[in-house]
This record gives sequence, C-alpha cells and structure tokens, in this order.
Amino acid sequence: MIEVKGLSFSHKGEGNPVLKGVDFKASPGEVTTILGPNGSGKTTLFKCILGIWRSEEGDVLLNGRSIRTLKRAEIAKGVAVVPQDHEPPFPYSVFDVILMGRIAHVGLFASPSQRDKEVAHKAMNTIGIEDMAERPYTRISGGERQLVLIARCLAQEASVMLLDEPTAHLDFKNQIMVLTKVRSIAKERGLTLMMTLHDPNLALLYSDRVLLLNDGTLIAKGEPKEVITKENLMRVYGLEVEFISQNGMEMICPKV
Amino acid sequence: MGRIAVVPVILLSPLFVGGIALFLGAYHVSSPLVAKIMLSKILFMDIGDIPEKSIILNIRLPRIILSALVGMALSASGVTLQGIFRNPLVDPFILGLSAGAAFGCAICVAFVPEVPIQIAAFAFSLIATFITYTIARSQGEVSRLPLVLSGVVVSAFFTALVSIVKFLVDPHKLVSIVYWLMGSFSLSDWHSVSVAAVGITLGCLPLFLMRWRLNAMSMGEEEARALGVSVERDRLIFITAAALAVGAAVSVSGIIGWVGLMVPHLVRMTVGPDHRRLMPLSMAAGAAFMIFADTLARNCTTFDIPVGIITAITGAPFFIYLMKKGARESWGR
Repeated sequence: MIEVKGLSFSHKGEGNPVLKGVDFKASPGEVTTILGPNGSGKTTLFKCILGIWRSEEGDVLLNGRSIRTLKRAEIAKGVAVVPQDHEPPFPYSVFDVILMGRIAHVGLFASPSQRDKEVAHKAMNTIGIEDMAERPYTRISGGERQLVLIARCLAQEASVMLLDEPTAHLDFKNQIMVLTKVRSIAKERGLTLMMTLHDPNLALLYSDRVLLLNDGTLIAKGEPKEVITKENLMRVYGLEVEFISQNGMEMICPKV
Repeated sequence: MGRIAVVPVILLSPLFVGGIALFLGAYHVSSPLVAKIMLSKILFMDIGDIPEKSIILNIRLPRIILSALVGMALSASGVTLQGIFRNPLVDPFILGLSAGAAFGCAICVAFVPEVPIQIAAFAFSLIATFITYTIARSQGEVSRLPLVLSGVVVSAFFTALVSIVKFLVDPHKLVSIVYWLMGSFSLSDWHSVSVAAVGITLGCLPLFLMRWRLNAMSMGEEEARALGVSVERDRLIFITAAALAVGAAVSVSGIIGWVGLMVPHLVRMTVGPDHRRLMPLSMAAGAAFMIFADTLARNCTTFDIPVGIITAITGAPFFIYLMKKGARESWGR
C-alpha cells in the first residue's frame, strides 16, 4: 500500500515546484493509473515514491512506514519499478536481468543463492518467458523487454509495483498483452499496482482508480468514469473529446 | 567448444603460461635442469647451490608471480571501472588511476623516501579517480565520451606533475624513475612480490566478492537505486578497492597500460557480460596475458624491453577497434 501525503517537490535551485501538495492512496489488489500530459509530474511522482528523489514537503508511506526512515534495500523490498525502455551497455542474458531483481535480498559481499535463482525462474514462468532465459536482453523486442522487466519486478517480491509508461514503444497488440498480464497478476497476488499512461482509453479499460495530474497538482482522483470526463480532459489536455458507447464499452474520441 | 570447457581453460591459463615462462630467459638454462630445480623446490630436495637454481627461483619465479599479480589487479580494476561507469572504453590507465599512482610513487622516491610508496600510490590514484569522476559528472549522469575525455585530462595533468618531479630530482634517482615509469618487471624480487601481494589482495578481494553487484550498477544509477543498491556506498567501495589494487600494481611495475581494457573485453566476448563469471575469468586471463607479455618483453631481443611498450603496441589498435565497433552497435549514449 502506498499513501502519499501532501507531497511537494522542486528541483534544487529551481523555484517552480514539479509537484504541489499531491495527496492520494493506492491500495492492494487495485490498479491505480496516473494520467496527465507530458511534464505534468508523473515520472517525478514515481521517483519520489521510490525515494530516489527526496521531497522537501509531505511524505510517502510504504505499507505504513515513511520512506524517509527506510534504507535503499528496504524500500526496494517494498516497491519495485518497471522503468521506461532503455538499453544496458552490456548484453546481459534475460535471466541475468531478472536475477538483478534479487539484489535487495542479497548481502553486500554475497552472490545470489539457489533460492534467489529459483525465485527468478518462477517469475519468468509466471510471465511465460522461460524460453527466453538465455537470449541477450539487448537483442529482444520492446514488448519482450517490458515483460522481462515485469518479471524482474516479481523477482523483487515487492508488494507495490510501479510501471512507468508501460505501453510506450509497444505496438497495439503488445500494449493490450502487457496491460492484461500485469493487471491479472496484480489481482491474483493482491499487489498494489500503479502505472502512468498516456491513453485515456487504456486508463478507462484497465484501472480501478485514476489520478489526473496537471502541472504538479492532482485535478481529480477516483473511479475511472468519475475522473475521465469530457470536462476534465478539456481542462488538462485542452482537447475536445466525444464519448462513444457501444455494447457497454466506452470509447474516447478526440474531435479533429 | 562450448562455454563450459572455456571456463577451466581460462582459469588454469596463468599456471600453464607461467610454467612455460619458467623455461625461457636470457640466460640459457636447459629444460631438464629447470624441471629438476622446480621439482627439488616443491619436494624439498637439496640439489646443492648451483647458479641456475638462483636464476630460476630468485629471478624468473618472482618475476612471473609479480607479473601475474599485476595483470590480475589491472584486469580486475578494468572490469570494475567498466561496470560502474557503464562504459566499455575505460580502464585504470585511461581514467588516470595509473598516472595518479605514478605521481604518488615519484614524489615518494624523489623527496619523501620515508613514506611507503604503496600508500602514496594508493592515495593519489584515489584522488585521480575522484577528479576524473567529478569532471565527468559536472554535466549530469556520467556518459561515455566525457568520462574518457576527463580521464585523458587527469592523466595528462598527473603526467605533467611527474615531469616536474623528474625535472627537480637528482640525476641518480632520475634514471630509476624514468625506467620504472615505462612499465617493467625487470626489478622484481621476492620482496616486491610480497609487498604487491598485500595491496593487490586487499584490493581484489572486495572486487571479487562484490562482483555480482556490478550487473545492477551497470544498468544505470537510478535503476540500480530502484533495485535497492546504495549506489554511492557501493561505488565508493569499488573505486577505493580498484585504486588500492592499481596503486599496489603501479608501485612495483610502473605504468602498464591497456591490459585493463583489453582483457575484460576479450573475456566478455568469450563468456558473456555476467560479472559473476567475468570477474574471476578476467583476473585469470589478465594474469596469463601479463606473464605472456613480460616473457615476450624479456626474450624477443637481447634487451629487457619495458613490458608497458608491448601492451601499448597491442592495446592502442584494440581501443580503435572498440571505438569503431561501439559506433556500429551504439552501446549506451
């Protein structure tokens, strides 16, 4: 569980805060989506939750404990992140990348134990990528990398999982595949799942709760249908949209 | 030949190369006699005092062991620096650790002989690394070329300081400083072996034990943090240990470049990038390579060529090859 209380953040030497008094709660077994335009502070919010950037005001509680009081490895045991797509400098095998998720559980002078390897293998099986184990991470597709990073999150055995734009760089089919998979895993294991998305349609389809972020401030939070409205989208994106309903499904279409 | 067969071959290569190197040298000792001397030593047999015994046991053997230690230290540091800076183009020589250590040694030899040169070498190679790192870091996350460039700058700076020392020092000491700076094992004896062994073991042990963490560190600072690594603490330990190993190596053999760059690459090409395997195999391969290079240095002409010249002749083209390959495969940015 993540509780963010009155969180404000600004970069050193810059007056304009990136986050202003952000306040919300993300619960286990739920998918909480953060929606907002580029530069609205989504990634910053994730970095504050991970304790990579320290906020000057407000607090983040990870399973009831302030992350200010937690050590790096303790935070990592509670919250895992799938970062945005990137390329490592060396062609590690898929298995080696997933095994990195165990580092918070392994001592400073130790190597991963048999149990750590088993956990990594299990995570691969859960995601269904065990046949990729020996392939170089640098030579697989964007969608496959996303799955590898999600498996690494599972190997980390954290109760909170953050996904930073999991659908960026993915084609239409892979977007749906990745989101369906993480959602079902989160439900199954009672994980607290938070992700940032750009597409309000996907947010509508996959979230239990939506946070709408604009210029560092939370404009709205709650059920997807309450938050993703014509008025709110106009306010945040400055776009006129139309809601189309068919067979109980709702589609958001920008007016062009 | 699969990867599994390669591992023991590389691990045993220093023993193999070292064994052959014992039989080669400027002073001809017949092969059966070398074997007899070694056997008698191992089995505690007395074969009397013959001059060849001293050549093998007190000249060739310590020299081979010392070059193995130095090769191990430079390669282990190379693996470490490439991992923590996520940069395949760096090694102790390029980042200025070697030049810093050399300056430390030079001032000790020239002006303050009371201070053990290993300590000065360690201190200055540490200082050099931090200067390199700070310059490269001034533009945010450390990226590939700025790091290499600031290493070049720091190397040049410490090399200039060494020149000042050379200029000021009395001519008797000058000869030894100049010769030692070229990188050579010609002054090896059991004393230098024991001195180097302490520093190199102390430096290489944490590098070996913490090697798996390099996998996560090389994914980038923020990602490593998110995975639960205390990046500042780990980086400090890694750099300090590498500087300790390099300082000890430089203090006994001068500046020997490129080994820390070439060996990790060749090993990585053979067994892949996982540091759990890369570190011990690079240590072994570095030791074997250095024995090989030094055997070449003392046998291919009637002089004892400084081994640093041989490693540079092979290393510089290798660096160019890596830069071209890097541009093609666009590693990191």
